[in-house]
Amino acid sequence: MSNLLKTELYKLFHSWYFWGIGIFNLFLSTILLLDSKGKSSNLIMASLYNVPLLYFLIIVFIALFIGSDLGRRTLNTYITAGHKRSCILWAKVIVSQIGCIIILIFPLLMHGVISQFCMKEKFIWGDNGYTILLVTLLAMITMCTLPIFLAFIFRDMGRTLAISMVLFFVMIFFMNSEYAQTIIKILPMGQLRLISLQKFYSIDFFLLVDFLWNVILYMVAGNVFLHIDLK
Amino acid sequence: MNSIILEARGLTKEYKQTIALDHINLQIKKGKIYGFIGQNGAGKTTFLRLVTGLAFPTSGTLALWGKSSKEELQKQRKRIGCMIETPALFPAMTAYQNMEVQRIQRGIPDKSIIKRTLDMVGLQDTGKKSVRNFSLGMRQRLGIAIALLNTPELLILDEPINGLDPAGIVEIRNLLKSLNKEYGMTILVSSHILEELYQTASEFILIDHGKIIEEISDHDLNERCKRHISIKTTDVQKTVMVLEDNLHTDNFRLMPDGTIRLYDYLNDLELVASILAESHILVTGLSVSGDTLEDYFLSKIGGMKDVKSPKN
Repeated sequence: MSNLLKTELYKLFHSWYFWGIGIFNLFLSTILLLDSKGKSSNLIMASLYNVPLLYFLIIVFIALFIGSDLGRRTLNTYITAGHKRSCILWAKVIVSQIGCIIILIFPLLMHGVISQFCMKEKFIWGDNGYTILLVTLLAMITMCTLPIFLAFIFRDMGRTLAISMVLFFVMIFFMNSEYAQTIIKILPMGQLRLISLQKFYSIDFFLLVDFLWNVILYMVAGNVFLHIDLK
Repeated sequence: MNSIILEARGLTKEYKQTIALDHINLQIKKGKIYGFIGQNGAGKTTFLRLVTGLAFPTSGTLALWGKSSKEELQKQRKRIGCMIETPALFPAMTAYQNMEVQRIQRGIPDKSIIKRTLDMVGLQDTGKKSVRNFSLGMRQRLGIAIALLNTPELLILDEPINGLDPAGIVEIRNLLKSLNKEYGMTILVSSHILEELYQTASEFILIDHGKIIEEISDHDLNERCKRHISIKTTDVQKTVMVLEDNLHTDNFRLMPDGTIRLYDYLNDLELVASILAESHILVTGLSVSGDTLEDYFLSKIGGMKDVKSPKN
């Protein structure tokens, strides 16, 4: 397992798209602040407000990092080298999530630093600051779980990208529909939007929903990957 | 018993409407080079995918070094190096980086093995060139290098000489032979280029429609194909004497039409010609004749049923 993690990290940091998407995400997130600054209390929350919109970059990253690895059969070399499929799955999931979180959090950190030191903004977390941080992190992880799940189901870059994008637009559509009040709480990208607007409703509910999303999607992905014939 | 490193018993793989492998029984023994021969869709790659763990059998058992449980098979696969179908490479990375990925995942501590393996396949000078700019032959070589990285006990190569130029084919053939000789590496290689397989392998496995139709050694194959040097001269008696005295062989037959079939020196036609010339024998015909592996394979699977001869 440790060899697989090291290999995946090597692949992550040697991939042009990780750095490319990361930098583009920072650029786009900064541009979008012009729109979101007025909708939230401070710059870091304005940055968090944009995270759901930048989800498409995560979809592209996952399609390239997992979808193409399965499509090009480069992941198969782990199996032929005698690694357990479950270890391969988890190594890929862990490093993919690390990549996604770095991409998503980097602009938040940059904007947070600018907010604190240049704009002298004060951010009040309240009593449950760490819980909010945890929920934010879990919502981000859960948001990234969907394309990871689809990548293991379809094992192909094109379909992973296309279906994830369709679902992204469907989620955006529902978040603007008449059911938005309900939908927004059960979708991780909706939760992030609520957190950015500091509408925390029920933190426990967010945690439970995200936990269930992860358990269900990884159980299905694992079940498929462990038993499927690979190309 | 210890010499058997791979054993398949009743190995079957069914897809929705087709049987890709039909109760395969097969043994691969240590230290030999096996040529895996079959038409497209015969089941070669399916068998190799089952051996390497990429696919699961519908029924039957597979044992590697005598171990057949799921966990044990997984462990034994660490002793295998393989390239199935096209090489699995990262196009944006260099040859060295591709090898580094495999070195890390296999937990090989010695970094210098990468350079040694790249040297072995003739890719030592690719530098910072990314794999996407490699020719088909270079990719093939890199795929072989990856398969060799862990100095495997069993090397499985599926169509390894696809895309290689003639010089590359000879290089890879010599490499496989030297790996087999120096390290005692067992090699299972499938190829459509049967003449090439004939020069590389010592054992042949013929597969058709998911069934093993024959396992045969190169010695037996030569016997059955009756490969020989056909010699026609103006003086048969003298030729026979020269063969016995100068080439020290009695492994020949005199045919009714006066042709001599020599079963030795098959790869040394020039030597036979020069010795006959030195003995002042007028040679009117000298050629290697007999069935090729291709002819033999086609005869075993029932010939080219649907292919009409151009003469007809």
